[in-house]
Amino acid sequence: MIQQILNGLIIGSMYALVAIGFTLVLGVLDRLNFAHTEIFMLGGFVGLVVIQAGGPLWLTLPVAFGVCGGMGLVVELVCFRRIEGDARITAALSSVAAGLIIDDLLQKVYGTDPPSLPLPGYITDAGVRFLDTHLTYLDLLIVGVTLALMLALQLFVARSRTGRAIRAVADSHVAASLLGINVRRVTQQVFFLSAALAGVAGVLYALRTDIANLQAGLTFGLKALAVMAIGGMGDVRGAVIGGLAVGVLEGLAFYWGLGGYSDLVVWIAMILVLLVRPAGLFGGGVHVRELRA
Amino acid sequence: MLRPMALAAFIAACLPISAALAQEKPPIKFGNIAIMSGPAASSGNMEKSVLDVAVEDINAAGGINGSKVIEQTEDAQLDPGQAVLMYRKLAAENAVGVIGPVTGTQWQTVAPIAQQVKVPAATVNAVASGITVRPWTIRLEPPDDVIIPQAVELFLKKFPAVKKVAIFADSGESSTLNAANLFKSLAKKNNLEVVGETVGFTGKTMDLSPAAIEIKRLDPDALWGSALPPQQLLLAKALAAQGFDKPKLANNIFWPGNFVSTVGEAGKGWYIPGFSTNDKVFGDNARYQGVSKRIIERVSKIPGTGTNISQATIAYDTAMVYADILRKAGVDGNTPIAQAREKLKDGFLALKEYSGLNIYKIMPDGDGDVKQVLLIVDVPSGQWKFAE
Repeated sequence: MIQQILNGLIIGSMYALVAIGFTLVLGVLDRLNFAHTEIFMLGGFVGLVVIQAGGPLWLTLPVAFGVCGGMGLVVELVCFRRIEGDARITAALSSVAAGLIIDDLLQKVYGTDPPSLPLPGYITDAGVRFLDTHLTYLDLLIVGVTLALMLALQLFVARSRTGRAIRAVADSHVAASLLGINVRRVTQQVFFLSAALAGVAGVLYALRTDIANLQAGLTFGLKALAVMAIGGMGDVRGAVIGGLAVGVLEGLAFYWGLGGYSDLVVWIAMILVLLVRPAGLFGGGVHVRELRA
Repeated sequence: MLRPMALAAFIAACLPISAALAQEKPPIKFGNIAIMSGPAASSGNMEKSVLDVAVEDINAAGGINGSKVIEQTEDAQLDPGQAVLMYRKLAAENAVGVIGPVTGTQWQTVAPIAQQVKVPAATVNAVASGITVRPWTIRLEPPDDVIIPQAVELFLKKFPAVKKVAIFADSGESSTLNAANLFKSLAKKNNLEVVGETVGFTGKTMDLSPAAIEIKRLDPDALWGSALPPQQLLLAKALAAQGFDKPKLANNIFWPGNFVSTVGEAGKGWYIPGFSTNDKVFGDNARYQGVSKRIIERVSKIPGTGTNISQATIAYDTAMVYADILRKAGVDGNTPIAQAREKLKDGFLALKEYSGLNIYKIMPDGDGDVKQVLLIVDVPSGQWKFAE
């Protein structure tokens, strides 16, 4: 059981990274970006390209950060910038289409069978023992990178000038604009950051499963949407805790012989949480006020 | 004097024209329903390439009683409803018979309809049992209830020390769940202990490390089960990451496709039943290698399709069966289509065995039976090979 819990925390940390991206855009800009899941999937393919080109493993992370962040900017420009005001559904639908385009283009290039990422054995096999459980160095890398990014995000939003601008826009676009904050630039920064985090999560997921999987966006990535709802829409802390909880619950489902229902866990959890707390576990609204703490 | 000579000259002038007219018999159309788009498009590309080679060979041998064969491929898009639509379309567009659709669900949907529409059909890829419907359909590939018992027998012969098995299944798909249940019942029949419950997951599960951890926890002597190729690949890699090195037996649902070339070292210890690889078969190896080489040349030009043709040659043999039946029945392009279809259907019923690239017996229910061997992944080449 310990191993399933530890493994669940590793999987949950990847859910959390993707969910943070969702919640950033929703919390700050009040927009739901459905291309986010496909950008997560794109991250895996960016990692594949780097490794196939002979690049070192560590390079996959910053490259995915940059490329996927850039894709986030493209999505913002194409799907959201021109659709202002209350046309949220239109923008969300547009982002669905953008996601499907990304998916289709990758399929055209790579075909439909998932390509393998050639990884060295020292990272996939070797590792450490913790609580009688074998954790590979790759597992530790995933946890380490995820924690580092979450901490960095927390510090960035809480202490940096851009972070203050993001929080101001989250409170009120109008007020922020009146205060001289360039709302459009903040919007772009949020989309970049959100997509970059998803891209890194995508690389980590691809490294973990050894393949760049076209189906990952729709399944793994979509669960992160539920994680966001569980944690509280617009709450980064909630996304993290929600992600970890879902990962652990899925692992325990296998332990209890309910592996065939493990995919339902996240959706059942979402309904149950929202029935009891419609704003999510930590949601006090759709804005990231909690980041000030 | 001149009149007979003029007449002779006239006749001589007409001869080439009439010969040309006699050669231009209408072609005979074979329909093909494959998955040409979406996540399984690589299988459709493979199947079409195989059929193109088969049609070339049929035509090189003179066609069918002087009529060339042409092939029309329609895309079923992995959707049973679409498979039915495409089957009806091919029926309306005068295909004498249809090869496909693939997948158990699609075949299960089309096979009964073939009895109403009366266009012969043969699947080349579905393995679910009991879904071929006589007399208008046939299946050369043996179904799971023929393959899996043979596979278990071969596996236990190879690993006689196995006493405990764990079972895994993609429980969201009926064909894989049924196959896993068959593995389970065969384990019990062979007095083996089945440890724990079936470790289930679905096609939506994108990280199978929890399944691998659970399988390792059960500590079986061997692992048996069935999953669709994407989940099979994920499971193989997750098991390797967990250090699970016991022998593993699955049904042959991922015999075709890119599992074998993508799985790498994680493919070690996996066994599946089969009867051909890219270069080896029970029949005429020289002929088989010649055909497979041509197929590989074609598919290697299609991105993402891979070059694992080991199972795909069933499609080649199916096309050859059609051609053989129609030749023997004296069908050509001038034969009324309904009559030609009846002849093909009658040929299905009469067929008891067939030696093509592979060697088949045809069972009374219309399914094939082929001698199985265990196949394993040859990691350096990324292809299947016969296990020793």
